[in-house]
This record gives sequence, C-alpha cells and structure tokens, in this order.
Amino acid sequence: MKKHLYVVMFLLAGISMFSQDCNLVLTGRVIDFHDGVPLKGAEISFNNQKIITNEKGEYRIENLCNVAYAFTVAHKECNTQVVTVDMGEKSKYDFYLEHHYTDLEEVDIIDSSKKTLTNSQTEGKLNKEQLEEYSNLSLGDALKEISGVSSLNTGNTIVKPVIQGLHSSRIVIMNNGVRQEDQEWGEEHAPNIDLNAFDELRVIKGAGALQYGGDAIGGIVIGENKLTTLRDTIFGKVQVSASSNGRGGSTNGVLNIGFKNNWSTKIQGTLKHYGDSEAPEYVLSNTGIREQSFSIATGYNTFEYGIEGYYSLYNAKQGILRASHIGNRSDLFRAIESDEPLIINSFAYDINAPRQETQHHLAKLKYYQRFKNAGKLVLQYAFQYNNRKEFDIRRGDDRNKASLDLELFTHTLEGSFVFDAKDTFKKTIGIQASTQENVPNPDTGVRRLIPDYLKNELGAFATFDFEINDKLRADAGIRYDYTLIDADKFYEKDFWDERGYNTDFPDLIIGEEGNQWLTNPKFDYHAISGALGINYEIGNKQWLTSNISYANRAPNPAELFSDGLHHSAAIIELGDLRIEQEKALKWGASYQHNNFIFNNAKMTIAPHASWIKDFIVLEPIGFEETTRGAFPVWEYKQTNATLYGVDIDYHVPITNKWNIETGFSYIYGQDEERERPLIHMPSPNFSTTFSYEEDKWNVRLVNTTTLKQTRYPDNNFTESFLENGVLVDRIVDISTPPDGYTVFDLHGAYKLSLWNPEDFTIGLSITNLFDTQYRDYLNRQRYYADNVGRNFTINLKLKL
Amino acid sequence: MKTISKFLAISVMTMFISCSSDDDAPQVINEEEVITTVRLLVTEDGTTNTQTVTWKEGVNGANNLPNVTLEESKTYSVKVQFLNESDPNDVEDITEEVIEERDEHYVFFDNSAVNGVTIASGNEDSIDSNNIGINIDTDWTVTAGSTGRNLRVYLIHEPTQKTGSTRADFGGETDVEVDFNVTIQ
Repeated sequence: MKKHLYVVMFLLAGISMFSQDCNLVLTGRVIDFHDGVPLKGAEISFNNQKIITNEKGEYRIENLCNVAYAFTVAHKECNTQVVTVDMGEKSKYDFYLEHHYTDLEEVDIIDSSKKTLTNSQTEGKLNKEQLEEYSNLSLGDALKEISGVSSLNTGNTIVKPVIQGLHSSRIVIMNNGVRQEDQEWGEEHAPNIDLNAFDELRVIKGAGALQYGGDAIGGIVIGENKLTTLRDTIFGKVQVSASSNGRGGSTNGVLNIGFKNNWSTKIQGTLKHYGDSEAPEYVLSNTGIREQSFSIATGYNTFEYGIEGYYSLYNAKQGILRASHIGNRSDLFRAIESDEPLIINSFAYDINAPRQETQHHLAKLKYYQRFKNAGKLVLQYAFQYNNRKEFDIRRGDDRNKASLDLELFTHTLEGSFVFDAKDTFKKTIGIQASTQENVPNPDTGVRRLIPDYLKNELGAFATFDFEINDKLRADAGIRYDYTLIDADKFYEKDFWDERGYNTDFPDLIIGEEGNQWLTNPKFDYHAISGALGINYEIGNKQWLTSNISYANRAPNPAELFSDGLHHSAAIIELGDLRIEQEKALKWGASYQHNNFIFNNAKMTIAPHASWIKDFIVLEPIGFEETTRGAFPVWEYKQTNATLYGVDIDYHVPITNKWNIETGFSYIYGQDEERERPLIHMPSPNFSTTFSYEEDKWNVRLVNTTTLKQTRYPDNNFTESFLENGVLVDRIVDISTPPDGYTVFDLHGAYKLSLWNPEDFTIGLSITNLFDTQYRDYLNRQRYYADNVGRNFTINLKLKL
Repeated sequence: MKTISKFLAISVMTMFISCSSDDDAPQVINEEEVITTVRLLVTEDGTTNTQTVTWKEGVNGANNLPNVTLEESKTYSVKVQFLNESDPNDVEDITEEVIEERDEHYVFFDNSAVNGVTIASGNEDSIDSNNIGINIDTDWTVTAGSTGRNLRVYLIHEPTQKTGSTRADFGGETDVEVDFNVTIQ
C-alpha cells in the first residue's frame, strides 16, 4: 500500500522524493517487441529527467530511490508506454515497445512506390482515390489503369482482368484475404466482386507470391478492405454518380467506426442501375446492368493480437447484347458481315435474355497473434457461396428457365506464421486446406456444362526474405499443392466411345441412364512451385528487381469436362479427361529510375517472359452435323507456349502542377507446337495522361491508343450459303482482329468545403470524348457491335 | 498454441468428412429443347400416296441428304415436324411448342435451288396474330420441266420480319437449318 501511495504521489504531484538511500541504479534496454531489436534513441522520462538509449538500446538511470517509478518510454516508431518499476525489486529492466499499429497494417498512400507486397515481383497498385474514380464501373475496368493489365470483355459490363496476356483460371484474385472462387474459368465470367469494398487494389504480375497459391501463372490481383486504426471516431463517405450513356447511376457509401477499446467496424454498400448502353451510331440493346453489394467488417485489433470478421455480398444482373445471341454459324456470318448489330431496339432499362445473374457471398473469420521476438501467427477460415445463372433465349416451358445454374460452395482454412523478428531474415510458413463442391441445378433442362464435383486442395508453403546488404535483398519460396477432383458426370454413350474414353477410362463408369453413362472421374494432381528473386538498389535513385518462378496449374472443370454447345460463340466445346497440369516458368524484372532525363521523372521498364509447358488452348478440330447446320467443334488441347513482353511507365512532373504520365505494353505469344500466334493476346497499347492540378481542382486528359493486333491464329472456316439458287462457299472470318483505335477521356474534379475542409468533391468526366467508333480485339462482342460511345458522368463525393 | 492446433486439426477433419461423403448420384438430364430430327410428311393431293422424309442428327449430313421425290404437274401437301429424339424412349414433338409460340417462329423453305416448285402456306397451317401462316403446313406445286436440287429448311426463332426470299431477310436466330434433296420425275 505504501508503494502504491508513492506511485500516486509521483504521478499526480510530480514531487521529487528524497529518502536516505537514493543511490540505486536501473539499467537495461529498450527493445522492439516485434523483432527483438534494441531501439537506439528511445526516450525514457520521469520527474523532468530524460535519458536516451545508446546505439545498443541500453540505458542507465542513476540516483533512484527505493520507491516505484512511472517511466514514460517513447520512440519515434513506436507507441509511447508508461511503465511502473519498483526499485525495491529490480535493478535491471528491459522495456518492450510496440510499433505503431498503423506502420505494419496500413499502407502508406502517399509514397506508394516503395511499399510493395513482395520483394522482387513486378507490382502495380491502385489507391483509394484512384478506385473512387471507378466506383460506378467494374474491377476489370479499374485494373486496366495498371500497365500490362488489360481486360477481356463481353460487352462493356462483363470485364475480366488480363495480366500480361493471361486470364481466367491463370489468375488468382484475393478478395480481402480470401481466394475468390466464382467459376472464374469462363471467358465471359467476370469476377463477382464490387471494387468499392476495397481500399486498395494491387496486381502482382507473376507467379512468385506463393503464399497466395502455386497456380497463379498469370499473376495475382489483391483487393484489401481495411478497418480503421483510429480510435473513438466515426467517418465515412457517400458517392453518387450519374451517366448519360446507359442513362443510369450508381451510389455507394462507407461508414467507418473506431471504438475506444480497439474495436472497429466498417460498413459499405453499392447500388448500380443502368439501362442499355449506346455505341456512337446505335443502341446496344439488352446491355443494362443492376448490381447490389454490401459488406461489413468488424474486428478487435491490437498490436499483439486481433480478431476480425467479414461478410460481403455481391448480387448482379447483367444483360448481354441481344444481337450476340446466335443460332448457328450462318447467323454468325451474317452478323460479322453486317456493320450494325442485327437487332437494334430502342433504348430500354429492361434486362431480358440473354443475361447473367450472379451472386457471391463471402464470410471469413481471421485471428492473429504476435509472439515476442518471433513473429505473427494468422489463422483464417472462409466460406464462399457462388451462384451463377445464365439465361438464353429459349422456347416453350423452358422460356424463363436458366440454361446454366451452378452453385459453388467453398470452405477454406488456412494458417501462417511470419517470422519477422529479424528484419534481415524473414520467413513465412503456411498451410491452406480447402474443399469445394459444385452443384449444377438439373432443372435447367440443358445437359450440365460442368458436372457435379468435389474438389479438395491442400497446400503448404515457405517463403524467405533476406537482406544481403543495405542495397540488396533476396527472396525465395517453395510450395507444394495437392488437388483432388472427384466428379459425377453423365456422358452420352456415343460421345464416350468417340473420345476413346471406353478404352482409356473403362473403370470410370458407375451407372447407366438411357443413352448416357454415369461416370465418376477422380483425378489428383501434385505440384511443386518455387520462386527466387532479388531487389537491388543502385545509388538512391534506381532500383532493379528480378524474379523467376515456376508454377503449376491443375486443369479446371471446363478443360476436363465440357462437352456441349457454347451459345455465345456458336461452337461445340470439348474438354478432355486426359489433360495434365500446365507448368509455367516465368521471369519478370523491373528497372526503376527516379530521375530519368528530367528531374524526379520516374521511369520503370518491366520486361517479362514465360515458357509454359502443356499450355491449355481451345482449338478448332472439325465440324459436327446438327439440325442447325454444321457446327465448328473446338477442343481443349495442350501445347507449349512462349510469351514475352515489356511494360514501360514514364512519369514526368513538368512543373509541380503539370504532369505527364505515359505507359506502353507489348506482348508476344506463340504456340510453339503449331507454330502460330496464341489467340487473344492484347495488342500493343499506349496510355498517356496529361494532368494539371491546383489546390482545389484538377483536370486530366487521358489518351488510350491500341494498335491493331497483327499476330493472331487463323481459325476461319467456310460455310455454304444458298445464293440465287446456287450453293456458294464463303469464309467466315472469326480471326482477323479489328483495326487499332485511339480514344480520349477528359476528367475534372473540384473540391468544396461544406462542413469540413474539402469534404465535397464534384467530378465530371467524359469518356470517349470524340464519340469514336471502334471495336476491340479483346471484346468477345466485336463481331456484333461497336464499343460504347461518348459518356458524360457526374460524380459527387461527400466525406463525412 | 496447443488448443489452436487441436482446433485446426479437428476443423480440417470435420470439413473433409462432412463434404466428401458421396452424395446421391446426380439426376440425369435429357436435353429438352434440342431438335434432333426434322421430318417432312408429303401427301400427294387427292391421293393417299404419302412419303415420310427424315433428316436425323447423327445419320444425315452434307454428304447424305434425305430425298424427297416429286412428280411434275402435281400438287402436294407437306407438313413439317420437329422432334427431339435424344432419348429414344421419350420422343418429344417440338412442333407443338413452335405452334404454341407461332408469333415468334417461322419456317422458311429456301427453294431457290429447286426450279419449278412453288411453296405456299397450306390450309391447315398455323396462323400467327398478324395473320401470317408460319409454314407448318404448306402446299407445293410442281410445274412441268422442273429440276431438283437442294431444298433448305429453316426454323427461325424471333425473326425480325416474316416476309422475304433469302434467309437474311428474316433476321432472328436459326434453330434449324437442314438440306433435303428434291428429285423431280
């Protein structure tokens, strides 16, 4: 009791205490809790005295009395602590300080160039402000801002990211720490994600970030939703936008709450409602979109431990251009030959068939714990439910039924431990287990495009990051993955024999229904992936990174099992049970110079090359006679592929108000076995932004120029037409890419102060300023219609 | 730490056990709207002479066209039938659906390669709300000196119009496009 009284007196009155034996000495060190490193220059204060730790983090305080002292210990990188030490009990004491929580968890938005997720991979990033400009668009639209990232579109609403020429199953998308599972194998399946749920988006243009997966041959997209680290606060934002093209709008809102006791919550929601888009010359009928999304996160976070729960919902209905729904290849021929879509209706908000209705739920629970002088343990469980319905134009009783109705359930459990006590040698080990079930709805009346299956995966990885010297940092990683697919699939008996499955897989048959076999294909895949890289700082204005990675991708369900008509392409697509894993070796490097020619002008050159063995491609193999005429049959085959290219970015600050940013990307893709170009490689493209910025307002003019793709495989075929009583063979040109194009966008924003400084922003943008008519090679609807024309959008943002 | 690893082990196990238990076999799906067969029921007017000419998927193709035999200076009544025979035990007559949705369908006989045969909507044809016969039942008139070749039969879904002389005039999607060989004696 006496001791406590002394402490109170010390704290409140700050009166110096003198007693007879005030000659005690306290020694020790101030240590970083996180990595055990002694902190130099830490300040220990008490009674108007200040002691600073030396190079070794040591301190020595003399002339202390035999009482308890309250020491205030501070260091510029850490949270200040008050620690009471009883001099009657101790003469040596080590103070442990925690890093500012934000230093580790939050990414610095101002200087984004140096903060990267990986040591040696080529990365791109979009911050919150950049994302806000895309709030009414999609994830794929926003990612195109990053050089080397393009998009594979089905019209203007279904947008898939393409990283350095690769997409779909070759890309991993991390939705707030969880690997997104939403039937990503389909070329016309856009990620079921609302980008407004994220505070930042990153792209890793390589396979080397093994903690996310060993099969990201193309790269990884990472979206992060962050809880506020501020305490006792409420803030948020409301954004409303309206567009002339599509005659609709979107709104989204975010509310962040930071409670006093380390709890925080974030609630976010988005609504989008658009009617038909319009090309310069005509309405793109049935291209409206509806989207509703919502997310809520809540967590308790301290430096030492934390727990976080997250739930997000995405629900969307996307119209598909009416004129792109064709019955057979002569319809396709007529569509290609016509300058305009064959069906143009007047503008409407209604979304009819063909359309997609998708829904994605994600729920996760994450826990972390830091251990003194060791590192951080993270445990996470996530559940995802995805439902994809695709509606075609149908007849009779099936008219309002979906043609495709898939339910996908995925559970993922993972744990990792980051040994980051030594900044010069960090290690991460982790394990991931997931189980997934795909359930196609049999009520569609259409044979399942992909079957009922169960997929179990188990992965384990270890990554290392070590500092060789001040300038040079190296990293390495290794990962093992096991995948088991256990499917139940019906095959038509003729087809089963035709494919030679009767001789290769006779044991798979488990049942018989009329003219179909019920089979139980069970395949497993083992994969070892690895990565190695360096990051070298040359002087203080230049950086060089280089990374080489080896990754494997197990075939997706479409590549294994598909055996039917693909409506939007008017082709019959055949999977193959014999397909093996793809094996990819990728090298990526980047050279950054922060003073290139002009003062502070930043130049980045990032070359890359991939050699992919057993690369899976879809190729035409012949025709099948049907009552709709002969249909082209395409089959999934394996070949060896080489891809290489370069992404160049150059940012020149002309004055502190004028800036020019320019980017260029080139990709070469070759099928080495058939000695012909790979399909759907993005054309060489340039993007240039001129911007002028004042305190209150800014203006940007953006030019996007895409050259014509001259390297493409020839998949044309002939079709016989009855013309004036004579059968005439005509070539159906599905291969030749459209011409290049150049499009200008203009953006402006003005900041106002309503209740708080600069809390209200009015933005106006005009995309496709000159209403240019063009078609894009990577748009699957290029056969049918032009891209969208000019669009005025007004965007209001209020910060709360 | 120990409890955590226990928790992990248990959850992994339950996860796999609960999900990998083999469910019942999936339900078989027989395609509902596929048309596998196009059939022409040809009756010589005023007689009981009939021919049933069938174009069947998996049997017929460009090199194996079914044959319709007609005689000069005669008239015929021709009914077209669309069947789904993907399940031989449960043959579905799609023609009924087409008739039900006659406003959205049209059968187009492209006879431009067959000289001397005129085709018009017949007495028992199905008439849409715009008073247009959709050619389920047709009258064929064979004039003297006719020559036979490919007759192309289309079933068009949601045509943009129902008049014309070439496939392109009708718009819409092609649900059926098959050729018959016409022999005129």
